[in-house]
This record gives sequence, structure tokens and C-alpha cells, in this order.
Amino acid sequence: MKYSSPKIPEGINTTDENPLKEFAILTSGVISVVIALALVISYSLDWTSQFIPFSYEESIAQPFVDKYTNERGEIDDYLQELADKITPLMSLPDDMSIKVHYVDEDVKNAMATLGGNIFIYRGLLEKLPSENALVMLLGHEITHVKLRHPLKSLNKGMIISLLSAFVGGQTSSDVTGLLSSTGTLTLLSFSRDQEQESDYQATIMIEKYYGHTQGSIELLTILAQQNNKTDIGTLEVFNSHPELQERIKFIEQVSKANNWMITGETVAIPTKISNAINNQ
Amino acid sequence: MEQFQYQIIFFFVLLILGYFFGRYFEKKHYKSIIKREAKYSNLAVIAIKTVPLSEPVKPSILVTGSVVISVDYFKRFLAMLRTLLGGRVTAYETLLDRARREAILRMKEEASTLNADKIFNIKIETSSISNNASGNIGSVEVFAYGTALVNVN
Repeated sequence: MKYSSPKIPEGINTTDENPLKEFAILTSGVISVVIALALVISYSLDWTSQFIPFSYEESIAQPFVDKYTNERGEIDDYLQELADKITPLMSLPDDMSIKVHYVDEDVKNAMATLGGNIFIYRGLLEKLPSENALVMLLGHEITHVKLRHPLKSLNKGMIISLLSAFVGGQTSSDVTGLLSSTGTLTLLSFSRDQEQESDYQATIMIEKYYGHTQGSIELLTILAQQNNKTDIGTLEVFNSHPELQERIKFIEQVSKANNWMITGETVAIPTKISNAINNQ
Repeated sequence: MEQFQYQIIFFFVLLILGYFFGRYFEKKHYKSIIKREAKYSNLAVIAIKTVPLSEPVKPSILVTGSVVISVDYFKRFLAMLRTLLGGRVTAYETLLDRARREAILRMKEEASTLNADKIFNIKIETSSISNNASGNIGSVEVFAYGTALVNVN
């Protein structure tokens, strides 16, 4: 008699279940845990920022500010003067002070950082059509300082890199990638909220200062034009700032709700200053 | 952030590619395994160490079969998620199942060309082949070996 081994039954050591099901359950589970964790951490860090004195922020920022700024020129003084004029309208806490710095670089941006330091780049400044738009820009950055946004972002950034370092030490880079991108995207939504809040408060201020909100729309329109030139299309969730069209719409809605005038007389940037900018 | 966006798209493309190619090759492999298992079903593979006395005296020879199989990107990602949460790593189970059966089949093929009809003392060794710096298991080698009794006439 010839020997014949029996056929091995299938499905004992393996499973027929579609791995997509397992993938969906695991990924959604992990992602929701990370989002929940990021939200809890972010909210509690935002809450703790009120206990960190502003002077501490200033002392952290000082070495960097000294390193990256040159001697103050007439443009710095002009920007500072303007900022000093509008800060009383923005109800800043007593211990806060705003220091505006002009940076002679072709970057179309402005930023607020720790210790009330605001940097305005030449690239953006030379594009601004009026002083109203500049006041809006300063108001937007001052609101960031007032609401301690730079400090909050720094806090969150540190915690997220600490956590991903923890997890990263244990698993593969793909999974760490999933975790940290989920964390980053969650934090970006915080960043978009901060931008909207800053737009809002700056618009309130500019309405008090000029009696209309034309500067807001002007600034955002300029930014939108710059964006159109370079933008290769980014989805909303990947942006630190809300879509510019959305921001313009938001300002228009707020103005309408409060019966503010959207258009009005604009003030030009003094010729002396615009010449100084263009000559550099 | 644009770069980040493309990173995520790239990641999903890899996952999708891994899933479809992995599924395709796995199905194809199982088909071939089942077919060849039937073909070699007359060749007995026995785990006992010593040849029973009832067996006629025949020359013996070492037969081996070895196979290296890699997981796809999708499966590896799934398995790594499992390392966070625990549980049965089904993604790797089919990989090892295929590798073991393929190694035994290759050993049988060798025995068959040597005109053997029984293989005794079969052993299976498994080793992982690390394919990146952090030491993740990307592919697996399974090596099966045993003593074949060869028919000389």
C-alpha cells in the first residue's frame, strides 16, 4: 500500500478575516487616543500659561532678540510708535510690554514671539497698501502676545516632542509617524483658533482706532494675493492658519454683526518711511 | 506644512500598495502551496528521531529546504500597531505559515529528486532578517531539514 499524507485543513494557524477590519479598528483606536491626549494636554497647558509671569518669558527671549536684531533705525521707531498708539486700545495686562522689530529680509511674514517681541519683515511691509493694514497687522500680532500664544505654542511643541520621543523609543518609525502626525494636526487646529481670535481682537481695535475695518480686509487681501502666487494647494487641516478667504469672510461677518463700516478713508504710510523701506 | 501633507499621502500610497500587492502574492502563494502539497502527499515526513526497526535498511541523506519571505508595508504597519496594544498578530501568522509550509515543500522536492519516500527527524528553524536600523523584523527565513531514506533500486 502506498502511503499518502492527509490534506492539512486550512485556517488553523491563520485567519481568513480581512486585515482591513483589524487595521480600521486599531488605527481609529490609536488615533482617537492620541487626539484625546493631545487635547487634554493642550488645554491643561494653555490653562497653566497664566501662572507663568510675563517677565520670565522676556528673560527667555532676550538672548535671542539681542542676537537677531541690529541697531534700531527709523523704521523700527515708526513701527514701535504705531504699536504704542494702539496698545492702549487692546487692554493689555499691566506687566506686558510690546517691542516691535523691523527685519530687513524679503520674507512676506510677520511674527510675534516670547516676551512681547514682534518681528515685521520687509517683504510684507513693502506690500502693505496703507497704514490701516499695518495697524491691523500689529494688532493681530499684539493679540498673540496678549493671549500668550507664543508661550502656549512653545509649551505644546515641547510636550509633543517629548511624548513622541517616548513612544518613538519603543516602536517603528511608521507608527511613531502616525502618532506624531495626529498630534501635530490636532495642535494645528489650536493654531487656527489662535489666528482667528487674533483677527477678531485686532479688528475690534482697528474699528476703535479708525472708525472702520478697512485695514483688516486690506491686510488679508494682500496676504491672499501673496498666497495665490506660491500656493500649490494645501488642505485646510494641514494649515497653521485658516484659509485666507475664510478669514476675510469672518471679518466681514463680525463687522456686519456689530454694524461696523467695512470701508472708509485710509491713511497712507508716511513717505519718509516707505522711501526708507524701498531704499533697502 | 505642504511637505507634511505629501508625507501623509505618500504613507497612504505605501499602505495601499502594500495591501493590494501583499494580498495578491499571498493568495497566489497559498494556491501554489496547496497544489504542491497534494503533489508530494506520498512522501511521508516524520518527526521521530530514530528510524523504526520495521523499516528496511536504506541509505540516508540530509535534505533541506529554505525560504525567505518578506512582509508588506501594510502588514508591518499592522503588526507594529499591535505592539502598542497587544493581541494576536494575525498579520504575521500567515507569513510564518506560508514560510513553514514552503520550506517543508522545498525539502520534499529535494527528497523527491533523490528518489526518497520518507523523511525522518524533521526540524524547522526560524530566523528573522532585520532590514533596518531600528531592528524591525521585515522578512523571515524558515529552514526545514531532515533525514531522507533513499530508495536505491
